[in-house]
Amino acid sequence: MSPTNQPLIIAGRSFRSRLILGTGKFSSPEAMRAAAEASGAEIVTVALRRADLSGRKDPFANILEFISPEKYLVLPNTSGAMNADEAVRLARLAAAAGLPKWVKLEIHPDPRYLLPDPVDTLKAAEVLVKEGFTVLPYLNADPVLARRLQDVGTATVMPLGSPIGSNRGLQSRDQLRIILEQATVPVVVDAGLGAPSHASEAMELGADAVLVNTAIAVANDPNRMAAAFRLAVEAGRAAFEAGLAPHQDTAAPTSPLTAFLD
Amino acid sequence: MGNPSAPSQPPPSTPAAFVIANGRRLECPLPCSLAELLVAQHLPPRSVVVEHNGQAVAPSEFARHQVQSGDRLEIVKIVAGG
Repeated sequence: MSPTNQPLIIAGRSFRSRLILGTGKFSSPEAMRAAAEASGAEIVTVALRRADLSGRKDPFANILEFISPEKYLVLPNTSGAMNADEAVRLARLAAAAGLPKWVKLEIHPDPRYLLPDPVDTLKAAEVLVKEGFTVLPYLNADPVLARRLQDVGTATVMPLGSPIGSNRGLQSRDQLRIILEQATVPVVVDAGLGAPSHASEAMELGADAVLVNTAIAVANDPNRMAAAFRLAVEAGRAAFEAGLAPHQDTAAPTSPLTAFLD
Repeated sequence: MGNPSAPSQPPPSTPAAFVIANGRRLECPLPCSLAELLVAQHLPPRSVVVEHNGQAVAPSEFARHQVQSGDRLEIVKIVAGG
């Protein structure tokens, strides 16, 4: 596929790939590294967790040995934070670790649906933007909240397609369309993209990028799935830039409707 | 009237020095630097970040930060996640 799609620009930084990869749920750090390579992603998310102080060996001991900050923009998420205060603390810890001062702001206190808390997300976004972070907030596909987050200066908005790990695609598409119409920052559809066709659909609607984790990590062949998502994102974006034909209620013939044999 | 042959009482014990690390009491010889504490816990200093009494501390500062008894530490690693 010819790489003529326009670059993605977030906070003044240019990216060729519009597929952001999450690193969770892979069978091994090596599998994760290989899938990242196959995906063509340039931005890769990581998380922060309390270190195990019991002395047991931690298999994911040093993820930065597998995802090099030289090669990727390593984007810490604040997943695990139950409220704005914890999210802000995690972001500051990630910055202290030497990661770029970017943060995927993710606050989902309810473990059953992992839906992002809108109130604390907005509170934390405001604090972190003021502290000079490039903030990429994860939110439900709420167009009003998306505008509020833009207004406090987030670098993107990241509305969900469907709940994390549910693989149900763009259940939020009606709301996403409104966000896409009104956004003044890049829109990254994040969560619930279970198949490459879901990613393509998001890009065809006009999303600037997508974030995928589960669908690639749990595939039988994560490298092939990563490559499939890469193609899907490129195809969807190319279609969007090329100009999709409009929906209509009635048919519009493609062959002449004159009498065939007069 | 004390009995000269009775065993002497042990001296009053000094309370063990401890910090609250990741929400749990951790006894350790104090004072020491953050770097020394991490090494004593078998945590390579480069693999973690630490919040010391609410303040995020960069690994380059670990040797300079002194830990006192009762300090609160959050010792955090970068791990896989979406």
